[in-house]
Amino acid sequence: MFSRAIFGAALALGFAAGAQAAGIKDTEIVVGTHLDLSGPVAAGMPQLRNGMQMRLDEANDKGGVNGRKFKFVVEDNASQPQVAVRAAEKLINSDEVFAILNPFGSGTNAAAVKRAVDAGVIYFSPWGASAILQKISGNSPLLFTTIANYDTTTAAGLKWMIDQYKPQKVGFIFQEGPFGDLLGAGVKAAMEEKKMTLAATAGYKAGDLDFSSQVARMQQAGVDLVVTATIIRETIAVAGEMKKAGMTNAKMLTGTPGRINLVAQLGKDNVEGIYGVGTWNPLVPAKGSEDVQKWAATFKSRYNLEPDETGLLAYAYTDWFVKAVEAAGRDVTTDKVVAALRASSQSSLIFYDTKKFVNNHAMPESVKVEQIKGGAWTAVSPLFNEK
Amino acid sequence: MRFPYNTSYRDAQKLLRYRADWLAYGLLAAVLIAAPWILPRYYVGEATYIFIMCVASLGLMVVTGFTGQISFGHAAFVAIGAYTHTLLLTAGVPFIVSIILAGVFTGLIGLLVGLPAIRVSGLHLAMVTMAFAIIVEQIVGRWKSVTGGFTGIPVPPPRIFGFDLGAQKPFYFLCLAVLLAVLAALVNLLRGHAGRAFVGVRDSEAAALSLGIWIAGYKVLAFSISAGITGIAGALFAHHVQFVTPEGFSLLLSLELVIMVMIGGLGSLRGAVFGAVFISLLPTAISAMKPFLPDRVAGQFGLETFVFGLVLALFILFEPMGLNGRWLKLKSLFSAFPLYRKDTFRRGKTYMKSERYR
Repeated sequence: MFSRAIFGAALALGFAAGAQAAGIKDTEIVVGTHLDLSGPVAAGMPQLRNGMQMRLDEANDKGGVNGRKFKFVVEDNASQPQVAVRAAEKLINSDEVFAILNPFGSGTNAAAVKRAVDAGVIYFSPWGASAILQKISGNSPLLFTTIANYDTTTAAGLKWMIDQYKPQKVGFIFQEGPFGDLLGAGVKAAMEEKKMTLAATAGYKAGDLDFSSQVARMQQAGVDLVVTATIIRETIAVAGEMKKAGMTNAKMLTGTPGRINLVAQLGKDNVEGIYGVGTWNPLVPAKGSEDVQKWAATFKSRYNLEPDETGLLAYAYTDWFVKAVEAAGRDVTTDKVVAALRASSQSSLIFYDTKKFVNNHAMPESVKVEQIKGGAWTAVSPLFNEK
Repeated sequence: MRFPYNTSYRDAQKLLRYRADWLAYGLLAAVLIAAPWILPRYYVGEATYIFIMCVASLGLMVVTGFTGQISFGHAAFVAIGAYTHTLLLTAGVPFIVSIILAGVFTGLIGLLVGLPAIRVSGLHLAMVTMAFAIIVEQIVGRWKSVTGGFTGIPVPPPRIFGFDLGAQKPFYFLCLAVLLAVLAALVNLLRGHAGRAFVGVRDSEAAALSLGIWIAGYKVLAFSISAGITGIAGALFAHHVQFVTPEGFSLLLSLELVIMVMIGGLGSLRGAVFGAVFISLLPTAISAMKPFLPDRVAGQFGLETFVFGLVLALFILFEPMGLNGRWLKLKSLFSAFPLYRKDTFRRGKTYMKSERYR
């Protein structure tokens, strides 16, 4: 009799667990993220955290979604995979989150993603190499990637540049590491398709300050289009070095991470005229359209911080997720949110076009080539796709 | 107070001499065995990570705490162990063979690095080992055909005799077992001939040499053993992250290990364990503290770094002997209570020290 009662209770418990996903309570829905709060890129994280926080707070201020308010847990991954694993374990097992939103880093996400999806947690919009994460997760239906693949987007931009400006010799300056590897794969693909070979390549290490030898190599090879896999400071330095070396006829094309406003603002004259390819609109939130300005003012008043594109992107991705939770209704389950995400489409002022999930990856990966003119990024190409 | 009174050689050889030792360690063992069923899931995972860090910190303790050589490059040995183990497992080598081979191979690399490195000591050795770590990180990143480059490679789950030990509880016990094996091996090594020689080399090379100790040989031996143990920790580390990328083995990990042995208390295995537990739990403690802090403080960026630095600074200032020193002081306070002498741990006599002839 006693054992039957226990069996019954266990059955009932199991049933209850199956009916309601982790993180869903009567008046609360728990979501989390892991960001680099103490590592090398910690300086950029307030934008992401505040972008997400702002969208969730907005939902909560309206009384929550379907009667549930968001509880947001932020963990530190220090840009180290082993720390990210522990952060993910805490989110999954201790905070029992429903979803992990906008986690940051490539190695960190690579270590954490499988654990999350295996535990039945939705892994939404990791800021890392999307194709690799999809592979690691075994193409899990719970993983939704939004970051455009740097290889295909760079390939598209480079091919457009070649068609448009007919450069004779193309050179490539890259940061050694996963980022340079990935972007380099795109450069290689584009060159093969255009039946060209790279005239010169030069690598640098993250943290390098001087780029004179890399630029000299480009100049020696007579390169008239330099593609760079560089981030903020390096983009400015390479552009400045090219001006100093007198490579005035050569063009420079940078990938998505280098094509941000900070580069235009900090680089000033040095970066005037450089090209960049990317999938989002490199707008200055405080100077954008009326809607963006209003958003930027709210952001600034809440967090006492001038927002940049990454803050707006984090906000837009979070918005996408919140809408899907809303669409899933009061009896929200993981399956319902996954279905809602798959059926959803998202447009934002930061996107060039409306995005939809195709095989759980945000598509289309359409890009524009923009050029810095008068200290601001200005579109020089139409919106186009890789294929 | 207790004074050892030996009636046979066996008395001095016992690891646990008194009933109190048996009780204390028995209790600890019982707690550790019961822990996976008592603790919430999350803390079981944390404990597993701590065990792995304990093994790595024990490895570093051999060379830094017992032989007095500082190494800022132990993350490289963790990396070599992790990649060797992963590649062997992927090639179909059974787990037990693979983890032992990972340790042996890392030990051999340690031997190769140790041979030239022991010619220098102190700050110079720190530089050499740090350079070695950077070189290893680069090799791992660039040798794409083997290591998968910066993208990394997946780690097959640990399987012993057909049993998958990748789930949380089995992996907990696997790590615990490895930690105990390493601890037992080190306790025996360090109280034996080699261990005494290590300490002799650390305290005074001139005195050790005059006693006929082959200084260079023991230094290399310590370095190699240290590397081997750290390699075993690396193998477990690979299973912990499940996907190895060079990012995990940066200078930060080396520094973390050095801090573990410093905070734990140099020259004691117990200190290595204390240090690993303390440093590994610090981020967890900070994040657990967050909900109770005012929003203005909890949302502050850089809180983790700040608390970490503060704790380190306080330790260096107020407890240079580390956690183990504090533990010994507490223990003697309780055993001598209420007759504790304030100056118990003050050295009665200090000898002249020379930097030149150590």
